[in-house]
Amino acid sequence: MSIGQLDVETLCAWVDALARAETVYAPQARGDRFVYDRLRRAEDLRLDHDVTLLPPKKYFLPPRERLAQFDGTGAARSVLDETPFVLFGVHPYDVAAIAQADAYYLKENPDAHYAARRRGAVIVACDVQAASSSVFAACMGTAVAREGFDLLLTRVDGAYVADARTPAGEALLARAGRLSKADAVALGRREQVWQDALKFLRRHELKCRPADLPGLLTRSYEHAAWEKRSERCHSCASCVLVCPSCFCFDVQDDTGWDLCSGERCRRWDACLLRDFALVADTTSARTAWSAIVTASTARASTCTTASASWPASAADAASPPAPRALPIPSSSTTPCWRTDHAGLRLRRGEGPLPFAAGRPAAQDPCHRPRDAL
Amino acid sequence: MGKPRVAIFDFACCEGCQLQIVNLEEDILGLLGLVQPVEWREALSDRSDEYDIAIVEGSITRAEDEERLRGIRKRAKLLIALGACATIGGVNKLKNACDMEDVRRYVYGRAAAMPHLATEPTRALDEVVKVDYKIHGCPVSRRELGAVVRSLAMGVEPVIPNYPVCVECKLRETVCRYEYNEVCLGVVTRGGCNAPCPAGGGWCYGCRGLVDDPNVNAARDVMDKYGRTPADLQRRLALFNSPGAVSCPKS
Repeated sequence: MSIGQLDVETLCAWVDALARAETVYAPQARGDRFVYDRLRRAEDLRLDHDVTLLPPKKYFLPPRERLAQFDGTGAARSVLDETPFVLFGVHPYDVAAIAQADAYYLKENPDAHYAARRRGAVIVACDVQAASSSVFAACMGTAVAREGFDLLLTRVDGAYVADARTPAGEALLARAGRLSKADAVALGRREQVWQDALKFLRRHELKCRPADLPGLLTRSYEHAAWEKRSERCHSCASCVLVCPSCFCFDVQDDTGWDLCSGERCRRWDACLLRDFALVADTTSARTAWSAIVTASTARASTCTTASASWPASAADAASPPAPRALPIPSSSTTPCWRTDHAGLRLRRGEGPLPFAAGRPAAQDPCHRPRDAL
Repeated sequence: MGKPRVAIFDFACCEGCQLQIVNLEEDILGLLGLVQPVEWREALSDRSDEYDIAIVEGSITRAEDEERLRGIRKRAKLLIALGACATIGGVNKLKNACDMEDVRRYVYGRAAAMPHLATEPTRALDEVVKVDYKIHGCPVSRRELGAVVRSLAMGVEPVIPNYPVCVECKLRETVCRYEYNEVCLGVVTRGGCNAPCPAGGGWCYGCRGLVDDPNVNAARDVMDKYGRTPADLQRRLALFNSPGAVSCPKS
């Protein structure tokens, strides 16, 4: 596969041509943050983005999508979105997250809707130029992408090294016209970019190997950390919804006024939302689990009878709902919780990063895009 | 089996939620295909005491309102609370923190002593009678109203969201209002509205009421993180979710 070098002018002309001819999604400034959005022209492209509000998973698994349409006759048809698109400027950790979503949605029980979108996607990755203030990619081994993309761009000395890894990436790059050859100096500088990424894209430190995490998790179900965490959880699911690798959904029918025709829709759901854990008798599996834990703790400490504790959640469901006033205590009594589990300790990263801390300037709507590329 | 007979009633409110039904525009034909309205003050001159479903907007502020609502409940097989005044008491509850005599004098002046103005502390419908379903919001969303009616017509439990507004801000990529030094009630407020207020640059006013289990510890943490106090949150909550702890302007 070919590898070449693009100066910024060539890159802009190429991106402009792509944006005109194809559906291109790329990071752009919105207000003082970055979002993936439909790219109309090269000067809106922000390859210097730090992090986007939502990860690119929204193009493979939209927040709300139609799965099927049905009409009054009882006939239903699947809706598959096969529009090809180019996902441009994806950071290596998001490339890793897409690979992970592929594992959920394409391997054991392939999902036709996900697969249709995925088949039509060409992924142009881009090495990180501006680090997010909470980046932890390096300690998870995802600061540099080795695979999972069609084309990789790396900014080197004011130009870009373009590295096509698949026929689709090759075809896309061919539309940039004649490439100048990436010489040994440029490739050496690119290697340096990767080394820097591996070294510095960690504002938090993981005190174990990523491969140890599943085992640690399995052994930690009873750890007090979960209870403490839940005390401070809003159940707003913000963490899960913006997570590049979370993938749960809910399916609901939206029926028309004839009560026969309509559509079946899938929308993002999240394990941290209260109703996600509801089970058939309208108790929450989570509350029930919590009741078991509380019951066993109570047994151990004060010898409370088990029968009084176990059906607590069922009793709660039967009693009338508590008054809706929000009794916020005036002073904080819960100490701020820090991870203290051995091996899961987070600490702030050290030293200055060789990456710009990128954020669009909200007050300056006329940013100079060429500088950003 | 004929179409279910529906009666629409109003209590203390601006009647904007009832207007949302009129505003269904072409969808109103769909609605009329499913149900037969027998009483609907904003759109119908007929009246009837025989109905299957009562849709009630407004909150209960007088003894005679309570009596009337109990009568409606007795006659209806199903009672749906429509809009914030009916589901949570809404802005009408602001007065609960005040002396009722003051309220009457402040609002009605010299007419305050008239018997039909004998206003009492505001109650939501479910503080007086059993409510089967609640359509939240100020005003209610026409989309949600239609979905609830269709679900009931099919005999399916309507989906009333029970997650905070934050969910919908994430889905539409609205940056958290706290990041811009606002106090937003979205963290404790029931979603389902698609979060238009934060997306428009405002904050969530809490018109859909609180989620079933708002986490007080977490709310306090958010306040701490952004240098706000629980009192800031409570002041804003008073507008739609008044627990009764606000000071009232004196006349």
